[in-house]
Amino acid sequence: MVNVLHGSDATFYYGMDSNQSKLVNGILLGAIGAVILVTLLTIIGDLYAPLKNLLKDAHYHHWVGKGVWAAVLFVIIVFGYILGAKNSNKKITDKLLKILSCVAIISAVALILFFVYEFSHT
Amino acid sequence: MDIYLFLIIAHLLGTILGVGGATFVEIFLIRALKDGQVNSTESGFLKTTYTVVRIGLVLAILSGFGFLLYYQFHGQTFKLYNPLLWAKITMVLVIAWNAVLLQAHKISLYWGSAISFVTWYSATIVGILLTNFKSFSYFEIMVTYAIIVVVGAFVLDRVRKFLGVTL
Amino acid sequence: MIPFFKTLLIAHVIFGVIGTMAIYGVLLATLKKTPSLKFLKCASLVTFASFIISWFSGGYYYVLYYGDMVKPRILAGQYPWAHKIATEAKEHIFLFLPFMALALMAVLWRMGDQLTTNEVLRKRVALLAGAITILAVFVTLAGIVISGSAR
Repeated sequence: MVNVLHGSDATFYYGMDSNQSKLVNGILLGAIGAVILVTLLTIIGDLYAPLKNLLKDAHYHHWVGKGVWAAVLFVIIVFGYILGAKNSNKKITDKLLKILSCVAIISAVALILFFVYEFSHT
Repeated sequence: MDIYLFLIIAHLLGTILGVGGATFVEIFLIRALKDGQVNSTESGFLKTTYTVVRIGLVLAILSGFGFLLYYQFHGQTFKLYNPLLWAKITMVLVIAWNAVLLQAHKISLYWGSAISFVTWYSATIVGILLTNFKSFSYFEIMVTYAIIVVVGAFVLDRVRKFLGVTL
Repeated sequence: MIPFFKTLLIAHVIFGVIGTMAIYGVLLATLKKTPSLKFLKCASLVTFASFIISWFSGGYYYVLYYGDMVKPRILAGQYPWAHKIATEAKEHIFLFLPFMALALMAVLWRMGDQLTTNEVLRKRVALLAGAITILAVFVTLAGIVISGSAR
């Protein structure tokens, strides 16, 4: 079914100003990006030393680097979404909330299993 | 007053509020359900008692972590691996998880109220064992605790039935 | 340990615990059919602010003290897995929390008035609050394990 609601119709139907919706959805998307980036940087960094060294050389400590890069990506995604997204509504918010929850738990489990694997193989 | 004494007082106060509150939740619940429904006055009493329990839990947890920091700063980190401490931590998590299940209506009042009531008392007893340097394994404590929860649920149910209350 | 690092560690632990309790409060509140918006906004703000303070205080302690003074003791002791698994997992999973808490706060502050009328939204917010609570509890427990292994 095609969504033919636009502008004020969308506001009436979904009960939320489009800009407000973009901000909330942008932040949710930014959080998802940050979680995924931290997970990838951690796993890849441990398997590929030059990446970990790059983070350490650029930011004094690899962990600080991961936090900085996650924050930068978060800001880029939030502003990118606000400026670039054509449609943004509550249904997207509902989906992003679920995706963020699932991605965070899966990423946490992946990290724990990765470190258990690394410890048992050193 | 030294910091350790302050932590003991805070932790005991939290325990008193939590255990006392959990006890009165049971008492008020039995009174409220005698006529089969909870009216607004009874609901008010219950809400107030829940708040007291929550204040007790917050105080007990914050002071509990105060102890953990104290051990760290005084070369007693070995205490953090005491099985009794981990049994107590598990019970606190059970109290918290049980509250979530009750709020979401995913657990019956039969089990939910028994778990809450029994766990507060169990955590207190484990705390007493801890401070008296008693030695039990985590497994021993948790098995005993599980048995007490089941027995406790049965006993509470019999008490309710005796007083003419059905859940 | 000099007072500066003691203060950092105390701040990290206490604000981490406050943040964990606050997000747990958000979870409990969103499970009600008619949650208090005022409480949700306040609790989500406390969660975010506490995690930020815990992040920075813990980060300073970790980078400037833990690496040189605590980590070698743990690795040389009876429980090297406490660093290799618990610390490594904790320090990275912790990085998720401020972003997740900010996202939750944004939803509650901007859309919280819809929680009583939009059941799907309320359940999804509860799901996110639950996910943050689980991760925060894991991070807290890992912290106890790590501290206990440093003898």
